[in-house]
Amino acid sequence: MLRREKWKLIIPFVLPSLLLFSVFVMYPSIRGLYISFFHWKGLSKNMKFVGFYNFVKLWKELTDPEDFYHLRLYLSHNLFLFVFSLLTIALALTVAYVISNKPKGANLFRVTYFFPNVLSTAAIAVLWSMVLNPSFGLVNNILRSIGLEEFAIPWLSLQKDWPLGFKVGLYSVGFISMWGGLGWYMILFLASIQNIPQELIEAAMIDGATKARVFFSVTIPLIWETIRTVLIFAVIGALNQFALVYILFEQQPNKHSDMIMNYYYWQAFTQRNWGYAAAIVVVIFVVTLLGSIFTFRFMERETVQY
Amino acid sequence: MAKMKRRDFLRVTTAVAAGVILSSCKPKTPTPEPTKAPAQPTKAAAQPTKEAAKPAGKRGVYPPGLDWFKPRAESLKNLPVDHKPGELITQEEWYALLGDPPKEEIEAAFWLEGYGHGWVKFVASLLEKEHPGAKVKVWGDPRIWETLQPRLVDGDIPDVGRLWIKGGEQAMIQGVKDNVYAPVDILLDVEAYGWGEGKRVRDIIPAGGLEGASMGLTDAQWAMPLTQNANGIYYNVAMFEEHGWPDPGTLTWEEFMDLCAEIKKAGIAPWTYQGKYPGYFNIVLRPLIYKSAGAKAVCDIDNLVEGAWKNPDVLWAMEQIQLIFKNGWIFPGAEAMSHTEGQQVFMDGKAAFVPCGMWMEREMEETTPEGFRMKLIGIPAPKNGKGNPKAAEVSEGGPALTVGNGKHPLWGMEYLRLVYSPDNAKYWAEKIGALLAVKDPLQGATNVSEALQSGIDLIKSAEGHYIKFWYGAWYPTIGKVWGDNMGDFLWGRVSVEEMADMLERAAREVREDPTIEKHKRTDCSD
Repeated sequence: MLRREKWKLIIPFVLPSLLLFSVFVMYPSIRGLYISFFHWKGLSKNMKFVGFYNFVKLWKELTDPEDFYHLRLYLSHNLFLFVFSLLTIALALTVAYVISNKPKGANLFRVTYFFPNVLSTAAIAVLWSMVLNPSFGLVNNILRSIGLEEFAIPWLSLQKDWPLGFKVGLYSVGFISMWGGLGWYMILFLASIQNIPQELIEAAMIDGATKARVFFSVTIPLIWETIRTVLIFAVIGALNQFALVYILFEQQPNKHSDMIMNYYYWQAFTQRNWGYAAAIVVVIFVVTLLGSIFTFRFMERETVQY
Repeated sequence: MAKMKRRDFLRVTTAVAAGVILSSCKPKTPTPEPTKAPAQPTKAAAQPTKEAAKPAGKRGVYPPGLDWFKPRAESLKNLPVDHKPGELITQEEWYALLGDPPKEEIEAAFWLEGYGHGWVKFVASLLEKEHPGAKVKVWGDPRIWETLQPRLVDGDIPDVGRLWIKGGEQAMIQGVKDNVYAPVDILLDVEAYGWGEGKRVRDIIPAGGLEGASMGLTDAQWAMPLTQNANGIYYNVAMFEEHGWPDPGTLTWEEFMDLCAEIKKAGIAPWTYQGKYPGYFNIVLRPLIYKSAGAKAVCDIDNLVEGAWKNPDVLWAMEQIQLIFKNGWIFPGAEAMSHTEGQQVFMDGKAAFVPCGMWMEREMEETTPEGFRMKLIGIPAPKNGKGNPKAAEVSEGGPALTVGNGKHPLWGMEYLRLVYSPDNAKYWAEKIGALLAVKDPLQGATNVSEALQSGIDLIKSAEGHYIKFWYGAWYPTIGKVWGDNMGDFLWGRVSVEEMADMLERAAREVREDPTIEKHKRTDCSD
């Protein structure tokens, strides 16, 4: 009887979100999987079943010896961004640790770092395309005004080479994604660090541990769960990156900036190869899932209870 | 079926009534002036006249032979299939085919673009005035293709409009295959609205406009042109006058390149461009390929002939484009600029040339300095080129006008007929500052700018020799090779040979892929 009463209370709360989730997440996902087995141009109900053709085509493009379709190049950009995500995480952790020690103006720093998170990706992209404009952008104007004319380069150039074979524009994307993602990671870390009981830190200090030692031997193990979660966010974020590149580079497909999701978008919305595009996202979904599971398992440690 | 019977019944009764009325009038009534709105009874009277003229005429889908095409509206299945192409269909006969205005609204769904919706509403008002009782619903937005996609899948298609499917001409070709559009061939022979008796719609469209609008498809007329636009190179007139440089429109390509060097020596960047959209440089490359290699070479490219991209004249043209970049003739930083930023460099007098189309004047209107003067020229022809030196890249203005395979396709065609009215042409020239795709598009408009006039002159001087490449629309994978590599190609990071190799490979893949429908180009001589 009690059990039934409990469900009467739970169902009204769960049902609306379950309904929304089913309509806007579950159904499109299942439909996407279904479409990936068809040849469909998305303009009529005319769909031709092609079995695994789209997946085979994707594999062929991916393994083409000359990378004629640039799929490996796109994935290398995703990886490049993932490296930037790792840097962001390291920086966010440092900032969170410093702020958790409540230096002067801690609140101001917290708000300042978190601020980009209230902006949409589109707003961030537009903002930075202005700031990095080669003619009237803030960065180049400052550089010119202090006599560093030679450093006033086109920051969003996809022609100018920078180290590792990536273009300067892609480095700018990495930097902007760091700027945009830092605050969110920092808040997660900060909340986690502030939850650590103060007596554990004090005990370590009394035992003679340095601040660095406390950070690596007490703080890190105690927020390990958060680090793991943040890393999974980073894996998902790096693979799903789309909007920043799409807006910064004016929606133009470009082999020097595009990520795998840009390729998906081009196939779906420009080429109208909906079946093939669906196959791409199905594979991305599987890879993201495996990547997340791998990250989760790889970073599994004994949970520290306190 | 019941609907048809009722319509037939109405036609017969109207015919009888009209016969009685006509018998009491003069034997022949003069054809009403097309510009004057005929009253409803005129149309009613015209209907039986047409029926009388072709009592036993075969009815069906027009043009005949489109067996795969599935018309949704009954009116599309009842067109005179015996109609001989080119034979005039008078306005009265056309009105008889149209019948009474539909009870529902005629849906005009137009992409909301730089031209605005003023002219769309203007044409709608013309239609409502011309056909009392008709009601046109005009709507659209800047991303109309997203709003419309589910409706297209569902077969709920608007009657007339523009850019329902994103992705350029290739996407429109897909729309044709998926029965989104209705063929408008019958409209071409209908008397044009307001252009004087006996002139068909096809007579008032400029040369090449119909072919250009139909995306290279020749089985039917699937779309109609909206604007006349010429692509070319804009130059800064005042700068040229100040330095005593010759009119670049009179030079050969070789002289033009020498002039670029001279401009550079004067401390001015010869070129700026829309760096984030390197594809804009195709505006220079495509005509140069044509003028260097000739019509046959362009046909070979479009027809996927092996080695077409390795033609020495094609390679020469590609090398010339790279020279512009290798010689340091590009404004520093332009590679990272958007189209408007790159064009602004030109407007600010910091570069002598910019490749663009006639839309640029309007696009840059708000940031054009007071008194700035520019003119459009075609791509200079090489001295020993094989193509017609007068030819220019003239287009119908991107995605063209289409009639939907929906509820009222004939009314969609009637809307298009009114689009080409002289009144609308004048509206375009005066209020939009662009050319409607009709012969004599100015219609007495007086406030024509120097830049617009230079575009008109360029179109005129081409004398109908318009440069067209279709491979991008027909085979997107080849177009993508350019899209992916254009920036690298311009800056010499991809050599001409590498580019040609990639294009040859893409062409080979298309050739060997049986799932890709192949097209054949036959207009292979100048």
